[in-house]
Order: sequence, then C-alpha cells, then structure tokens
Amino acid sequence: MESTDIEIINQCINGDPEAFTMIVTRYKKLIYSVVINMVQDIHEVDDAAQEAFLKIYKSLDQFNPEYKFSTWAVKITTNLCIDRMKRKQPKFVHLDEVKELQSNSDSPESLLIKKEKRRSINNALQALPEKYKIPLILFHQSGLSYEEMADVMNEPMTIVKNRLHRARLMLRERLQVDRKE
Amino acid sequence: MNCQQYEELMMKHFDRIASDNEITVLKKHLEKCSQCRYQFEQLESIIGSLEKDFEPEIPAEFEANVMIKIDRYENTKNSSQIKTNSILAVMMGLILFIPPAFIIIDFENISIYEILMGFFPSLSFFSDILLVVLSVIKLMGGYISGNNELSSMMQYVGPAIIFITVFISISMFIHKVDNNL
Ligand SMILES: [Zn+2]
Repeated sequence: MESTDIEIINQCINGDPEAFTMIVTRYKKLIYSVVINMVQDIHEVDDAAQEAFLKIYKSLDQFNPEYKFSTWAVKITTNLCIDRMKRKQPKFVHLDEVKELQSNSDSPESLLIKKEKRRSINNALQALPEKYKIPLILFHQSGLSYEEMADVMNEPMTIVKNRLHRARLMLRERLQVDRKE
Repeated sequence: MNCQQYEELMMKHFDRIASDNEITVLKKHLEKCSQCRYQFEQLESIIGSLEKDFEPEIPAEFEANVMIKIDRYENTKNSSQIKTNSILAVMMGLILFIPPAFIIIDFENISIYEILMGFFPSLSFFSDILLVVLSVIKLMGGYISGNNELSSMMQYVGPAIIFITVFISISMFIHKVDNNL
C-alpha cells in the first residue's frame, strides 16, 4: 500500500531521509511547474527546483498536517523563487530554450508556431507584476484551486480571484501591444 | 446584461465554475457581439496555450540530485551539531564551575550576597559567549539558519538572562549599600 504524505514526512523526521525520495517523485511535476515559470533563466530551473525540495525537507518539522502538503510545498517554492528573482536581473527566455511537450503528431511548422506563441506568452507573463503573475501560474499551470492559492499567497480568496481575472486581461492586453509593435 | 457582465461570465468559464446555463447564455452573446467574441477567443487561446503546452522536461536524475543535496545537508548538520554541542558543554562547565570553586575554597568568610553576585554575572558571561558563538554560526550560514526553533529561542533566552542578571545584581548592590550605611 502506498504511504500517505504524512507517513513519509514522519519517517523523514524520525531519521530516515531516504523516504523523502517518494515526496520528490510525487511532487516534482508540481514544483517544476511553479519554478519553470518563475525563474527566468532556463538554466537555473533545475537548480532552483532542487533547492526548493531541499528547503521543503529542512522545514518538514514545521509542516502543519491540517494543510494540504502540495499547497505548503508550493508556498515554500514561490517564496524561494521570489527571493531568487530579487537577486537577479530580469531576463527573457529564448526561443530555442523553451521546453515543451513535442507530440509526434505535430509537424515542424506547427511546432514552430506553437513555440513562437508560447515564447511571446511567456515574455508577457514574465513582464507582469508578481502579484498578477503568480496566480496565473498557480491556477493555469500548477492547477491549484482558489482555496489553495489563497493559502499560498496569504490573501483572502476574493482578492486572489480578482487578481487572477485582472491578470488574464493584463496578459491579453500585453500580447496585443506586442503584436502591434 | 451588458458586456462588462459577460466578461465576468467569461472569467467564470475560465475558472471552470460556470454552469451549463451560463455557458449557453455567454455563447449566445458571443454570436452577436464581435468585441466580446474577439476578447473571448484571444483569452481562450492564451489560457489554452498556458495550460496545454506545459509539460516540463524533468531530468531523469532529478530525485538523485535532490537526495545528494539532502545527504550533504544531513552530514554538515550532524557534524556541526556535535562540534557545537561539545564546545558549548566545555564552556558551560568552565564558566559555571570555576566561580563556585573559588567560593567553596573560602566558603566560611563569604556572605550570601557575594555568592549570588558571583553566580549571576557568571551566568550572564556564559549567555554572552553563547550568543557570540551562535551569531558566528549564523553568519557562517551554518545549520542554525535552518533550525528556526533553536535560533528563535536563543533570541529570547540570551537577553532574558542578561536582563535578569543586571536587575538582580543592581538590586543586591543597592541592598548591600543600604546595609553598610
Ligand atoms: Zn459584448
């Protein structure tokens, strides 16, 4: 039978760090989805994701089981990414560096269009202020609910909701400006 | 309903909480209103691209790399903890037991005030040294940076000991002066 998150966490706290591998496997996709959009330099994504898991590991004894583990982990990760961004100059992602799923049905042309589209969306996303960027990432890429986002951002749900709505419109506006230029 | 209200319906749709009825109403409006339709199509395309194109390429050795970092952290934590603990124990022994040793030698001729006056400053001295050691560890980015409980406890314990010591020393000094007068 598969262990629950809490069982694994207790194992780690009680001196079995190896058990943490299961947590990493379970949540790496989620943590990556946050990091890949918040850390501008694609070469730093892997390092930042590793650092996020290390920070999660170090804080395990502070985890409150009343919360969802994923929400708490995302919260630690977003804070870490914000800290990292403060230390860095903003940098845009280059076309060839954008990683995405390459399904076999895509022709090279449609793949290129997809990449180009994805790149411009990514640039517009990066240019948004943090408080609008984070809800967009958490809702549309990490798949968090409003309740979870409110926990991660320490804001009431209504504010988170309004920001997400605002953020979508801002993103669209920026992409329109880009096209005209 | 005006276009502003339809925009809210659109947001509900992208929040994935719009009812079938609401979607029908929205679609009807979009057929008639080109401005809203344009906005909806753009938003749908942007959000669709945010949600669908995302599939992070996570290196196969990701778990292993995280575990290497955790192992390294566990090792430094253990070795620096053992070192710090033994240094602290030796210092505690020296500082707490040297003054009493002197007092015991000359026990018959020493008043209770002098004994206490010797005891509390030595406690204060010990706590000062402890604070110095802890701040050095903190500056060097040692294990205490991750151990919030201990460091936050020491923030209060150290100053509290100094405060109590100063307070008792002063009141005893006044008491003694009073007796001498
Ligand atoms: Zn309209």
